[in-house]
Amino acid sequence: MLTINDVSKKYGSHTVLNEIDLEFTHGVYGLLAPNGAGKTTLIKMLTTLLYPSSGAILYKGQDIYSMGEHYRDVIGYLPQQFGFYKNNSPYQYLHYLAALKGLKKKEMDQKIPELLKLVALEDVMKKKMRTFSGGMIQRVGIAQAMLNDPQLLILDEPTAGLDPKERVRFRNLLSELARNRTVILSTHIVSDVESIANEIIMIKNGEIRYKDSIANICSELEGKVFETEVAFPDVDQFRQHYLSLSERQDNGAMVIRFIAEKNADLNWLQVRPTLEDAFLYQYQDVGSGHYYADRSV
Amino acid sequence: MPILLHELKKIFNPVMLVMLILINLLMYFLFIEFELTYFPNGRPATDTYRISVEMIENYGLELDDHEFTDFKTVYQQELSKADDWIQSNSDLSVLGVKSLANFQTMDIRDASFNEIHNQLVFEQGIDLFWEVPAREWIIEQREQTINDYESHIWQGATESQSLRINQVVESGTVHAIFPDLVGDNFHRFSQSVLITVLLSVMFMIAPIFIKDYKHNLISLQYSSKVGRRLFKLKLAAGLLATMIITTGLLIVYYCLYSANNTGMFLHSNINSFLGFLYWYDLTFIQLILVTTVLMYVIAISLTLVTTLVSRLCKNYTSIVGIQLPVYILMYWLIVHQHLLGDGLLIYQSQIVQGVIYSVLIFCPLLAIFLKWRSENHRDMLE
Repeated sequence: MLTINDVSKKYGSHTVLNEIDLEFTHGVYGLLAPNGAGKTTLIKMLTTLLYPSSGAILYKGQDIYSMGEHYRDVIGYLPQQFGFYKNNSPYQYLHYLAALKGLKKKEMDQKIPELLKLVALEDVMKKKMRTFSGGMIQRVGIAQAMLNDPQLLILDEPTAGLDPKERVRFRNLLSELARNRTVILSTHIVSDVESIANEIIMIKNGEIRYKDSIANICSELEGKVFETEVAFPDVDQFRQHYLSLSERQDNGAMVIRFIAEKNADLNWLQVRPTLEDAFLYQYQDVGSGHYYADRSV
Repeated sequence: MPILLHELKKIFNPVMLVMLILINLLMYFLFIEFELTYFPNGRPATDTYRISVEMIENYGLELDDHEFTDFKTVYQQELSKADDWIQSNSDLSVLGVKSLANFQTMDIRDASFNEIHNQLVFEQGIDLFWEVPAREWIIEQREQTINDYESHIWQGATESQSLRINQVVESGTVHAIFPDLVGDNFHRFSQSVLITVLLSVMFMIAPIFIKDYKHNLISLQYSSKVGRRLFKLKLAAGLLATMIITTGLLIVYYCLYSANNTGMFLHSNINSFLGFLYWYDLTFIQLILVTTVLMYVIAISLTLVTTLVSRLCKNYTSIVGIQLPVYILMYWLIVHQHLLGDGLLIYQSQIVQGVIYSVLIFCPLLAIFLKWRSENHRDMLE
């Protein structure tokens, strides 16, 4: 349905994305990468806000930039920092965006209350948005993205700033919306996509590192993820040898989840790798902190 | 169309409308009110105005030679009345003043004359002391000015100015009854109104893009179906809003101006022995219409600039930083009689006016066109 062919994006001499090839059909795609990896750049190209330096993006075989408004008519987009007028009510705000999306008055009057009900904001549809919580604002954001009943729903960091309860609510809402359409969800929070994405796309150094199901991505670490108890004085030394994925204190010792090439100690307990393990493994050299120190693998 | 209406609603939001009214109240009392409250401004302007109105009633729009003779007869009668009144005044008789001519040539430094002069002329405001000299001035203007124009005595006249003067004199247009105080008042009034209209337009249009940018709406707007076409729609909304604002303000201010009672001169030619010469043969109503059209042109030009600045700037400070010099330049051009009806006066170079208007029209159009083209092809990083 949506194909990205050999797309690169450069700003001067800096290459953000390098010869990306992707294909999206129906389902939820999790675009997972740390901040600054180029997720937003890719998303902005998919929404025609940015032009690729080279390559092409095709929707049903046609160049999306040549399609212009015909392409934008089938997309719904929730930007990372989506804007709204604080003095507007969700009803007024959605009316404005519906006009931008080319909806007729009759369609607006029918669609807007429906969507506000879907995102559980029907009781506050006439209240000013300045009084809304972050979660409520994000739900308005989802509603605006759904106004034109898009075939392609593109969400950039939609859960940023939401509390855990709102995050769960958001995920459930997304699962409901994902039927019969393509959803591309960009995030750096693994749990956002772990339970709902059909495929995960990981970008590293401007290139696609993975585009696969969660099971396949995790299978690469099969037999390499362990947990063990380490005495507090030995923790630092342990970290120098193995990639620590998570740590917690238990029974007077540190329980460390880590990656190793093989089971080298009888006290190690082999565990099932998760998407978060794969994410941390992939991006161990990105950023800072104890996750990303020099490792045996 | 729905987008246009939404954009207009955003421009005319209640807070901005209240601010617009406040700005106009302030500008009205600072600049406009004076031209409406003090017209005609004192004496002998009031007398000249009254006599001019009387001339229109008696002679029509022009004062031909036959009517001029009649006017001089009336003057002589008024002068006789004045002399009679002076002779019947005991205080003036004591001082030996027998006629108005005597009265006018008396030494004002003489304390006793000074006292009675002030009392009669300023405190009591006896009409004859103002009216008769005003009639005298009109006669002088009718005789001397035309002679002066005919002799090309008008200082510093260029060849084209001399040609225009000849044309006005030979065609008899110069006999039109249109006092300078009416033209002058209208020019100053229209200057103040335009200054107010431009400030209003600038204030209302400046947020057109930056408000959306500040609210992070650009990416949503430009990724929606309308996409980059929004630039054109916003521009159209801005221009429409300018037309609405300008029309609304002009209706209000022209209604207020109508209280100046200059309606009897509407069909007089503006090239008059009582006033100024212009490059074009227009009636007063035509001058008002031309001035109004020019106001719209200038307001639209400023709207294009303001829209562009609003799209380019990232904060209100930079908008003010760019718009303020533009407004000051406009203000300077207006008060130096380059932009409105007074730009058509014979001492104003029409080449300069042409250049100014070409710059005002084509530079913003070109800039908007270039921005529109770049808008279609550039990355939206906002």
